[in-house]
Amino acid sequence: MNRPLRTDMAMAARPPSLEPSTQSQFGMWVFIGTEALFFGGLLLAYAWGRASHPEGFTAASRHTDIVLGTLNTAVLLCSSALAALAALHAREAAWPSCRRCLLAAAGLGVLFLCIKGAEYRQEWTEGLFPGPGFRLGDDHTPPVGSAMFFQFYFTATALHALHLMIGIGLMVWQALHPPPPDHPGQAVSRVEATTLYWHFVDMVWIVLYPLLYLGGRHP
Amino acid sequence: MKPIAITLVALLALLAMTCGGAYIDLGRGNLALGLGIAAAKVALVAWFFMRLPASHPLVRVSCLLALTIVGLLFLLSGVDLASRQEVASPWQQPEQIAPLLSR
Repeated sequence: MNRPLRTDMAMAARPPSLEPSTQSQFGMWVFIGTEALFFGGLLLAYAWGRASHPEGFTAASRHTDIVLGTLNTAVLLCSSALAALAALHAREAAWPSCRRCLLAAAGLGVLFLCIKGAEYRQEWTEGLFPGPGFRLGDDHTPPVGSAMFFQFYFTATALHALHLMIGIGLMVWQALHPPPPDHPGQAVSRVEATTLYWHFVDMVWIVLYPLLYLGGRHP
Repeated sequence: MKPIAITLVALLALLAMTCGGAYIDLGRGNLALGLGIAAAKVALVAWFFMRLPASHPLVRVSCLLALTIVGLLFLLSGVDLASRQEVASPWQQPEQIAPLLSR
């Protein structure tokens, strides 16, 4: 008589189990949460710098390349749409389309890095890299805070680029490894988790774009 | 597929808006506009690309928790920075050897 009752209690005490796809999504979201805190600290440093030295930050952000910055934002937004499409195809078990979308998104990620590299080169030759030779155009005594802006600029964009490189590696790896025939669900979980990471990297850039490129543009 | 395409068009339209808006003098409103549009874009990506509303409640709670902790970080640090008196000192260029590549 007591036996079924004990079984019921044991069942009630056991935590509800999650489906594998939910498990991987949950894991990735927890990781994204920690990453949000990581970039949150950087953004806080920017907020403090801008509040303390508004003139220097405004003058410095006028020297970033808005055309390349905007182009890169568009490239990353398109890659995010392709990643979302890849996850959709994975759920529909349309693997060839999924693979094409993953590779196309990774390709746009590489294009982003190339544009970013060209931008870095331009900034280096213009003397915008913080250090002894730092200058803003012809101004060799730039306002206080402008070097700090470029310290933030190079730190934030380099960390973002590092995250993007990891993302490109993950996307290509997913595209090159076909789903195991006996466990197609596993591959869906993997693709979904990878695309979640890709979207997060896109989100970081969306927030960085107005902070780095749009300050002090109006006459 | 259609919601993804519509979201992408909306994201690109918001990008054009934020870029154009930066050239209009709004004073402090420029930063608010830039960050407001960025928040809208992040929300679109989370909603339609990451499918947050369709995901498990645990996932949504973890997202909300991350946002709350980032908010706390800004709130408490903001209070600290706003209530602290800054001692002015001139900015000094760090003394270091010029990088080899610039010679």
